Amino acid sequence: MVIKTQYRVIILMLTLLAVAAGGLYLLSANQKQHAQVLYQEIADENQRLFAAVYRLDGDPQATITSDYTYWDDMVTFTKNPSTVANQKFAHENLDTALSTYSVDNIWVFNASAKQIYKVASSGHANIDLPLSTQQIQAAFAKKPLAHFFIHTSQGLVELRGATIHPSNDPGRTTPEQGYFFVGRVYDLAFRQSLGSDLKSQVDLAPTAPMHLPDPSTGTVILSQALAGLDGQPVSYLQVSSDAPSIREIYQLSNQLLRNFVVIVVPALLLLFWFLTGFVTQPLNIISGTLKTHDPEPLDELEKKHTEFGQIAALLGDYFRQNRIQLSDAHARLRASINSINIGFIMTDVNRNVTMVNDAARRILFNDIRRSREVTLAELNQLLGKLQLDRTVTNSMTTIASHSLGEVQLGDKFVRAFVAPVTEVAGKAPVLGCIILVEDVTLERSLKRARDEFFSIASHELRTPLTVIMGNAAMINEEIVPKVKDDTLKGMTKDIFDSSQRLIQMVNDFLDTSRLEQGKIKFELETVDVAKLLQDLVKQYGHMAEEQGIQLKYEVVSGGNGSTKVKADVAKLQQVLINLLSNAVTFTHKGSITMRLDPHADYARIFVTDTGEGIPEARHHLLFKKFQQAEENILSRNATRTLDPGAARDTTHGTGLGLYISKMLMEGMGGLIRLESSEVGKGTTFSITLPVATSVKIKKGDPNGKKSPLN
Amino acid sequence: MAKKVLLIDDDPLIVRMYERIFSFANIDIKTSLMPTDGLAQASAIKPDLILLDIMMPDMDGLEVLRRLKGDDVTKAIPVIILTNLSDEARSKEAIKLGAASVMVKSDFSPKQVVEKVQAALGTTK
Repeated sequence: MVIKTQYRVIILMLTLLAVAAGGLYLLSANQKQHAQVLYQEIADENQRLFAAVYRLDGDPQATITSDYTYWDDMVTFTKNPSTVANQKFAHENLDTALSTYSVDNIWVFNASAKQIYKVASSGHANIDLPLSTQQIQAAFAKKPLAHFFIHTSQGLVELRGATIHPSNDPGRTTPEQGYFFVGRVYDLAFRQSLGSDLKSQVDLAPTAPMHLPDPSTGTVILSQALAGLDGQPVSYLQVSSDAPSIREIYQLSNQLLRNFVVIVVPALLLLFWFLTGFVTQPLNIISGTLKTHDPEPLDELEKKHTEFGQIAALLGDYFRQNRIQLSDAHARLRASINSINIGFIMTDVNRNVTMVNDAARRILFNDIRRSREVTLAELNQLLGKLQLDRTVTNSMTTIASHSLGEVQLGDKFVRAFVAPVTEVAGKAPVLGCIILVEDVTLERSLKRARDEFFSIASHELRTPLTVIMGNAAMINEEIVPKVKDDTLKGMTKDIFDSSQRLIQMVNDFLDTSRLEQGKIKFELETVDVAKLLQDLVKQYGHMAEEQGIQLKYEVVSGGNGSTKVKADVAKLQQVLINLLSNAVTFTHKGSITMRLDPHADYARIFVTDTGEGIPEARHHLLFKKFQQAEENILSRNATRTLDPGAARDTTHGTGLGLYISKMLMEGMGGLIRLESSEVGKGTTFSITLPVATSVKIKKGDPNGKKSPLN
Repeated sequence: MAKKVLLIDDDPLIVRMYERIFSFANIDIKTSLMPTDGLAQASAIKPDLILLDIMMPDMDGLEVLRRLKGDDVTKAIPVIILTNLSDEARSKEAIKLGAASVMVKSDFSPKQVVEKVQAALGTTK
């Protein structure tokens, strides 16, 4: 299989592109992985940093909540906060604690969870803690310390609280005397201060981030859930830090992709264009010309100063030269075929008509316009009974010529002939088929005129001949016995013999012409050939004996076939009499034997004499019309002879006896042939006929039973 | 009583020849060279047998035969076709029209014709 170079180039290009794209993908995947690792590292670092800062920030609050609630003064304060001493305590200790511990709000509740004191740092509103008694009791139901976030009118507030106990109860096992809360508001200032510690931006978000941020932006985000009173997050602290190294990795990757698209793809396209334009296209043109033998497409290529241009120029010259010679030869052949007077039609192996010469158009269509399309189907219909279509198929399959016979087309008679076209005579492969058609109208009418003339002339000849012969016979019978003059007797006998011979000749001519014109009808009936032969022996036995010859009849022993044949009895008799009289004429001593050889489906009669025999050189002429004439045509210098031995013809001249016999035998479905003949020893002829019961075997039927009659 | 035979044939040579042989055989032979005359004679003399040619001018022998067989007076008279036209189709037609037999002149000597006629006359007695 030939793979076009063009396709190879395309495959190469695609492969290159795939390799480049694959490499790029791997690189990019590798970088992404690297970026992810880096991101994780930065995130972990941020987490660590955040935890440290956050703890540092939270420690003072934890301390104040813890320390202040073990204070006996605080216990006293919760019991009666409105006393001057207690008010003083609050102002001196609690208010200052705001700045000491850098918290924003402080709230104190008594044992009944009633708010008894509140104070706020400057810059922050001194709001009530928005917690109900139940919420406060719930916050400390299980443990004495609490840490949670709540939303207030000031914003999100981190609360740390503890139950209040006397200093002698560090285990907080006694009933609580009150509740103490410190709060830090997560306002912008706080977040900014936290952000500057973490070198990040700190924001509050109502929910956790749905997914990780796009790492290509170079931002590492850390999200910290802030739990409410019930433990569920009430807000999220989001710490975003910038990681330029990650961003750079992505930028580099994108740059690579851009470079690939901008540089590699155009480069490949350029290479492809170059290969197609300078290699594959010229190759295509050249290979196309090599295939079609058409130098036309080479024209452009020939002008190019490349190796392909040189090749194209050489090829172009070669094919142009070739084409001139070829078209010259083709034109001459076409002209020759168009000039011949026989219709010539050619088909290709697919039965498409490829050529119809002028004669064929004239004969078949009375129309010589070459533009007229002709198809095999049309020809088949036109020639009807000749079954052209079937014969063409048959001819191409069997690689054999077929004569189709004649058919009448309007006022014409046309004869057709079919032959397969092969490169080597009689051998496959078959290239197509030739159909020859010939106008035989003139030939036929001439033959017909000749035959009719012959027939009428023969009839007209017979009347005076009958009179001559009849009168001569009467003279012989009535007058001659009374005459004593032997010369006169001899003369009248010669007249009678000659007239008889002449009549026989005329009869032969008549038979021949009528057989050839198909005017003789054969009436096939069942004939007992054994009885027929016995009758012939009775009838002609004495005639042979007069010449000293014995006429015998025998049946081949062991033959158990039928002696009943299918034949026209009068014609069969005529053939046998012809064979017998020939044998009698050419046998001077010995015998003539008629031997019947009956078989299951045919019967054969051998007529054997012990006479002169026929020279082998003449065997092939025996059943031909006018053997002497043919002999003379074949051998110009041969002496013209009417020697009856030459034709083995008892009519002494026409040479039609065996020709007529042959036509008669074939006419009734039998055959006649020379079995053997040797000069000086004798001759055997045989005739064969189908037995009456056998199935009629059609001539030339390939499916028929094999029979000697075929 | 001598038998009467009528020969209808347009050729005088043929007619004369058969006249001779029939007279040798002591058969009374009447002849006619014209088909129409032959028809007239046939009904006039009522011969015992008619010998009839086929190829004749004016009227074809088969037409003569058809008329003979169509006429009550002559239809019983046996007719032997005596011709030189060996045309099977016409021989068959003649037999179909009622001819007793068909003889080709050139295939039989005059004597054989006489013998055939005698045989025919014998069977018609």
